[in-house]
Amino acid sequence: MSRIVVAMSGGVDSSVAAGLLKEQGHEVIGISLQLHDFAKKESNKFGTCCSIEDLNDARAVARKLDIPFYLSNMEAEFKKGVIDNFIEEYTKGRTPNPCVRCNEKVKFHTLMDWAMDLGADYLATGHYAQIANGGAEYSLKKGADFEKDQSYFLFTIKAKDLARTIFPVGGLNKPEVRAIAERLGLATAMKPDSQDVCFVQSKSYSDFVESEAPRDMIKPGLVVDMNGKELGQHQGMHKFTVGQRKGLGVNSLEALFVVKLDPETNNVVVGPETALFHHEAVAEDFNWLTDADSIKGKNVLGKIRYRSKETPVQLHPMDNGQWRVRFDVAQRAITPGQALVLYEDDRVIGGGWIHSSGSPA
Amino acid sequence: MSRSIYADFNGTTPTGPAAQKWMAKAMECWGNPSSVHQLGQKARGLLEEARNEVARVCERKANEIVFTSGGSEANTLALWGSALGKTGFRLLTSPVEHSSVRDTAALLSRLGATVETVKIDPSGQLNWADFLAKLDGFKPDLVSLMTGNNETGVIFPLPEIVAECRARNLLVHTDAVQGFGKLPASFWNGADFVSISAHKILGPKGSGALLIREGLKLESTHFGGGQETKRRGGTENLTGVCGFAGACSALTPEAETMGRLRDLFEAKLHESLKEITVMGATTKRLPNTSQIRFAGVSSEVLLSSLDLDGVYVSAGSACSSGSLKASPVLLAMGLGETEAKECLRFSWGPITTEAEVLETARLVTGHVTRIRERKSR
Repeated sequence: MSRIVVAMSGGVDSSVAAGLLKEQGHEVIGISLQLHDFAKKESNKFGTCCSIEDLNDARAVARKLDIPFYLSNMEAEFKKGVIDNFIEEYTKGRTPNPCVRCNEKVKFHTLMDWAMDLGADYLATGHYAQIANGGAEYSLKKGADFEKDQSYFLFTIKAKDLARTIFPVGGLNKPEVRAIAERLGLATAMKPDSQDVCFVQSKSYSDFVESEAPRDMIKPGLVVDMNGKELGQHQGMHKFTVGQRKGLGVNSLEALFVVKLDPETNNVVVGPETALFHHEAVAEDFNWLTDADSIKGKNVLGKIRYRSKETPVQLHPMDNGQWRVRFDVAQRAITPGQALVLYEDDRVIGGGWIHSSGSPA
Repeated sequence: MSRSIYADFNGTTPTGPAAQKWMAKAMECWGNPSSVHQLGQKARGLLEEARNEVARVCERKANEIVFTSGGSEANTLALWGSALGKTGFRLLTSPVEHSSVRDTAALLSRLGATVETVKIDPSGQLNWADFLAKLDGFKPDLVSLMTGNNETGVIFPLPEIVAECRARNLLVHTDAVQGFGKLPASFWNGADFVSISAHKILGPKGSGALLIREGLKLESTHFGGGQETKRRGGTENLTGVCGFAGACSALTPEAETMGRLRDLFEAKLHESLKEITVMGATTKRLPNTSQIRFAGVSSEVLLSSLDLDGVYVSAGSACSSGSLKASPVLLAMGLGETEAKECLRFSWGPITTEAEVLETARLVTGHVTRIRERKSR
């Protein structure tokens, strides 16, 4: 029997993670983080991560499982590490991934620290991912349910933490998880999956940025074509993301897409769809889950957003610590601010943040 | 867990045998005290018996006792009832009051009243010069300052506060919820309005009172059948009121014992741990309360560690979700957010034993040492 701290979000996956561990006879302790002061903002929407209803659901599941439950207030850390960053990234023409950022800057280390301070052997979460170990080496692998796989969101996990992390539902698929929840009589069994960025709620991302950003961070600018010719004006970079087609505010006979957001000139560059495809990208701030040298000569796959397919890549370190990434197959809309996650088969070997796309295909 | 140690008596207390006995009597006497028939008369008799008992320990007249649903309602009634209908109402209070006072003050301020707060010294004590300056400069209609702080135990000098206000013909309210039962009634009952609560003195939850000095008028904020001489409408919570009276009947001057145990607890921690600060230690405190900062150790982590051992303590101020925020009381004493979130409150009661206090000190020492060691690795 081990003492295991389970990070409970109030969703069905972490509820079942806790239930399974309890069934296996472990001493299970539930913890949750309150990340956002929902009382201050608009009314709560169902199906987000960490709302008050979700915390109450987590608490109800803990009661049902008869395990202790603790809650930590991380509002200040979340505001600084995730929300402010989300706003800043959008106003700088990047498209942030707040969920990965939250795992990296707020959630994971807080939960792990707390678990270790409580003298726990492991931290468990409800992610669809798996930990494998060959001897002393631990690795992060995709969840058995490839449709639900969440390994992409976990690439910032520190290699040293893998040995004390477990994902009890990582080997299951969603229907199996729901069935277990029902068998255990957990109130969250039929709860819908969380969909959106939790703090944005009913607004669009750009409306959220507009309502929260300091006035001087939002600057109008020009919409230009790929030769720099002015086609129109825009009311701020935060309204755009690479690959976007609608809402460009320019008239054109051919279909135009956002191909680049240039924070230097504050220009939104538009062009034909073909201009969205690139063979190269530059990524930075890597986290390696294996020795970076050991990947030489290996068949490495890269994934440029959660819902895109992995594709073979070649990696070349640059002098400044960034990496040049070359894709065998041109990628559509490589987006600065998104995560590039690297796999070898179904194993995550590391990942970094996309800085820029390279020359067009 | 085999057994537990309760060190959260400022949060609430168990319902003691005296309270339970009175409550059982009340539950059998189920008439409505306002009914004219004999069943009602019986209930009325019990209600007044209970009122006399509460008045006795408060050293006040029975007609000065208005029963409420607890300390929070009493605080709200005192402030809200004083301000209602008055234009340009001026309230002088402090930033370390219970949230029922702070939030009512904030509402009054939104509705056009003027609210000023007295500065708090780093010791947690009222800044006396600022208090006097504001009495003269601000000329409040009501002064609301608590007797003993629920988080730090710091005692405000109520007799002196009352004397200064009296000299200027100003009304005083005190939230004596934590002082009641731990300090002699004479310490706090000079105030014109006094809030007290049953569940901090081995009585039931949901029962308290506002003492209103004879002859003073207060607008009612609860309407119903004109109960409590039209000061608090609604059928009386006879069971709760009797529980309150029962708890009052069992009050003993146990403050000395509690003070000894509290001092022993703090001495043990000072012996075994470095970098700990007892908040408010340089001024007068309630005999049962230790608010302690353990530098470098999050209160949430320490609280949960102790909870898993079966030791129940508290920290910070709970927000709507049940998570903890930095305590406004500690922030007012000059602590930063992070420092305030390294503080834990231990509050002992009349049934606390020396063995419990020593065991708690031992467990706290173990956890703090272990957590600090892990952090330094």
